Order: sequence, then structure tokens, then C-alpha cells
Amino acid sequence: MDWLTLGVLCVYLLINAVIGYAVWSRRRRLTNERTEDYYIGGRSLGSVALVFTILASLVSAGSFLGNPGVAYTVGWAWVLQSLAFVPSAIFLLGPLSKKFAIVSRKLGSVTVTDILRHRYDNPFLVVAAAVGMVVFLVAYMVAQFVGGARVIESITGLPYVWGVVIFGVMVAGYTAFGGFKADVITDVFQGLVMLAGSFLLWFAVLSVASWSEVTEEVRRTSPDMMTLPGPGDVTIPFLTSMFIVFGIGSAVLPHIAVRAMSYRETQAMHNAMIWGPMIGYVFGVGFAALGVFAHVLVPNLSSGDLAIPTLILDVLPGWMAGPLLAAPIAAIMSTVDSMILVVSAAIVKDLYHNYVDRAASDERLSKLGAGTSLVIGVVVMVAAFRPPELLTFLVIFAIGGLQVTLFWPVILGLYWKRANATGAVLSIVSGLASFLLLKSYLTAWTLGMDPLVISLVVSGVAFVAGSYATRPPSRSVIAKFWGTNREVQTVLVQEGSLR
Amino acid sequence: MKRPDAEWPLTDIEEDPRYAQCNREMIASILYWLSYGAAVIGTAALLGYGRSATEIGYVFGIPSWMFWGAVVGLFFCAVVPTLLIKTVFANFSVAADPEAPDTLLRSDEGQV
Repeated sequence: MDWLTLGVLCVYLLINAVIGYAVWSRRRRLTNERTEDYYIGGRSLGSVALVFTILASLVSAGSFLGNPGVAYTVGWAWVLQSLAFVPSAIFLLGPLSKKFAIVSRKLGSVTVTDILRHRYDNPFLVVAAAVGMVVFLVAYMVAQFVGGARVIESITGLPYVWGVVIFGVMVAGYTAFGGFKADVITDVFQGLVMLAGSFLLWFAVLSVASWSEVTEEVRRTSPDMMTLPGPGDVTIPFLTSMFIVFGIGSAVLPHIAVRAMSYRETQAMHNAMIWGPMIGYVFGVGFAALGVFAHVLVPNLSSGDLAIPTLILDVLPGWMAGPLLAAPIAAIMSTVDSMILVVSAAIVKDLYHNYVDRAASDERLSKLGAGTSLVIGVVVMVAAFRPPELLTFLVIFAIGGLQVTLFWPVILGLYWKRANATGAVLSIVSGLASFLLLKSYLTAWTLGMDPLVISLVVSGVAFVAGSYATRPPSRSVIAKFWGTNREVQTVLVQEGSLR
Repeated sequence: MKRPDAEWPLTDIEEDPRYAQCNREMIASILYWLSYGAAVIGTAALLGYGRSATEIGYVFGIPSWMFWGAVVGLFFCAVVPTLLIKTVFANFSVAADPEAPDTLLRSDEGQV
């Protein structure tokens, strides 16, 4: 057991706990906390918070362990494809635009599903979206815990179950008690750890090995890693689909989209769009390229996922390895905490508040939200002790399933007046069906691209056809999404008095 | 709440003037995404697609298609966003009502 590394990791975890505690003690003293505070921090994010929370929530085990892990065997072609998600700050904030922020303020929405509820006025859609989020994101979180605990175990010797418990207690703790503010502040801390870690690791690698020697060695021993498409089949259709799925596709993922309604002012949004891509470049290209280097520096590993952790341990002295290992851990925690909150919001705001107890006060919902977050964290932790078979299946469909469900309803709902509920429902059903079929059986029909691309085409066509074939949306819907605040409040008051 | 279809498109709703600018920014972002993808993939494809390790050029030890793809990508990440913000994007209040930014969204609780 590597006590030194473990010790430094503990310090990192402790800092997160302190942040969580600090936010919680401020929260406790608030009277009348609103769900707007608990779930989206009162819409008060500034530039630094916004840029780090977007990137940290997006970047998870996949980018720090998985991506370089694939580059470890596939080569430079995989570094090229990692460019797909690098400008994600722009891909999120741009398409949703300030309209998303403005409309959510007018309607008092703290979730994407609530925006959809107002836009389409269709209970099936709301329930489907909310339930889908809960199922898929819980599965994804379990997989993150499993992956993280396994890496900790293989590196430090800490038994798997202990790793899961540490993740669970930490993340569930500060998220449940601290809400969105704790999520974001820890994201900034975790983002800085990841950023500093990236630079430190490169610096360390280049001080023990020369750039030209390593690149020459890779070229000499594995020339196919120099080619495109290369051993990973990174064809042009594949690249294109990656730029869609991991590029613009991430804008509608609920735990990412919610950030687009939580900044205080447009200057923060602009700064995030300017700085986000550069930081994303370090995370994406920087880490993937390290995977290629690892091929030569730490060869013959049993799993690509171990490339970065092994590189860290082999190249760095113990006291530096600890903080750097915190980087992939930080990536996992910063993604899971944002997912816990949107799952909690889906249960408490989208399902419970709408269909079980309409009269619940906002303060009560906020408290329920905190309790629900805790329960979700515990459920994820327990499931990670002995991950069910079903998990892999769910995870494979999780992110794509959410994307095909939400993409057109959100985007077209915001910008196309004619979009209606029938179009939205048809797009979800056809999108999910085609995605499931293409992903599991009809893989030959995907034309070499990720199945999500074809499903997006299918669901897009269904959306437009369905909308045009049926009645236009009602006046109240158009007023809510195109009208001034006065128009919106008039409609909301009328709706309030009807219920 | 519902009106007969004959009245589509509705013209009597007072529209928020900020949305027109939001549309422009949305379109600019989509165009950014499209040109980013085309530039990165196009550069790499032109320089190295389908060629073996001996047929391609190398810059600083890495394949030229990768190097230039990374450079083009970096340009789109370090230079283009600032240009985009300066030329297309505008600063304005995102409050529900830009005239009264400090009001609560709803005065009643538990409704809507």
C-alpha cells in the first residue's frame, strides 16, 4: 500500500470536504432558501466559476483515463479525435445562447425538463425526460465510481470497496449539504487541480525523457500509431460523428445545460467562451498526447486505463504523484456532483412537484432536494459495491440516449415557433428507437459513424414532420418563449389561477 | 388558452427584443462549430489520410497531419473565440425584465 500517495490524496479530499462544509454552514443560516439557490446557485456564476464548472463537469474519467488509454494503443489518430470536445464551452453556451438564460429566469425554471414542460405542455414528455435522466445518469455515476475506485486500488493498493465508500461519502456529502454552490466551488478547485496536474505531468515527463527520443521511439516501434485512420479506425465518418456527439451534442446533457442558465451576466458567458477552449485544449489534446508518450514510457500495460496513473507513479516522485493522481479523481467527482444535482432536481422538481404535491413550498422542495441528493449518492455508492450486469448495458446507451432525447426538443423548442408537442414526442420515440436498434443490432447501417448521428437525423425529420402535420403551439407557449416578461407573467398568472 | 389555427403565425405578442441578438449569436456558434470541424478534419485528412507512416511528413517528431491539425485546432481555440465575441456577441442584461433586474421571478410559491 502506497501510504504517501494515499496521504496526499487524503489532503485533496479533505479540501473538498472543507469547501462542502463551508458552503453548508452558510446555507444553514439562510432562511427561505429557494430551489433556485440549491439547484443553480441563484444564477450567480461569474467567469471563473462558469468556465471551470463547465469543463470539470464535462470532463470525467473518460477524458483523463479513457482517452489517453485508447491513444496508448491507437496512436496520434486518437489525439486528433480528442479535438472534438475541446471547445465545449462554446458548444454549450453558443447554441443555447442567452435566450436559454433569459427564458429560464422568466419561467423560474431550474431544470431543462421544466423548460420542456413549459414549451410542450405534455406530461408524457416531462415524465419520460425526467425518468430517463434518473435512470441513465445514475447508471453513468455508478460506472464512474467503479472506474475510479478500481484505479485507486491498482495504484495505491486501497481495497476497492474503501475507494467506493470514500467517493460516495465525499461526493454525496458535499453535494447534498452544499448544493450547486458546493458543486461549483469544488469544480473550480478540481479544475485547477486538473489544469495544474496537466502542466506538471508534461513538465515531469519532458524532464525524464526527451521529446524527440520518445516520438522517434514510438515511430520506430509502432509506425501504425503514426497513421490516419490507423489501428483505431479513426475514419472521416468516425471523426465527423465524434465532432457531433462530443461536440455540439453535449450542449443538451442536463448536467451541462443547466450551467447555461446559471451565469449572472453576459460578460461571464463571453469569458467562458474565450478561456474555456484553451483550457479544454490542455485537457483534451494534452492528456491524449500523454497517452501516446506512455506507450513508450510505460509499455506493456494490461489496460490502457492504467497508462496515465502508471505514468504518474513511474515518472514522478511520491510526493508529487499524490496530487497528480488527484486529477482523474477530481474529474470523476466534478462530473458526479453535477449529475447528482440534476437527478435530484428531476425527482423533486420535475416529478414530485408537478405530479405529487403542487402546493409544496419552494423552501420545502429545496430541503427535499438536499435529502434526495444524499439518497442518490448513497444509492450510487451501494450499487458500485457490486455493479449489476445491467450497468454496462445502461452506460453504453446513457449519454447517447439522453442526447437523442433532448437535442431537437431543446434546440428547436428555443428557436422554432412552429415546434410542437407532437413533433417533440415523435422525435423522442423515433430517436430512441433508432438509437437502440443501431447501437445494438443494425451497426452496419451506421455508415461508419456513431449511431447517434443517424438517430439525430431520424429524430430531426420526425420532429419537423410531426410539428407541421399537427396544430401549431398555443398562444401561451409562444408568449412564454418569445414574449417580453410582461407577456410571460400574464400567462403564468392565468395558468396559476386555472389550477 | 388555445387559438384557432387560422391565426398562425401569431402577431399580437409583444416580443422580447433581445431574442433577435440571441438568434444571431446562436447561428454564429453553429457556424463556428461547423468550420472548426471542417478545418481540423480537413487539414488532417489532406495531409495524411490513408497514407502509411513512411509516406507522411513529420514535424517535431509527430505526423504532419497531427501537427497541423493541432495547430488549426489551437487557432480555433485561442484566436477565433475572441474574434467571435468581439464581432457578433453583445453584452446586455439577461434578467427576466431588463428594466427591473432585481425582482423575484415569481411572487407566489408552489405554482407553475
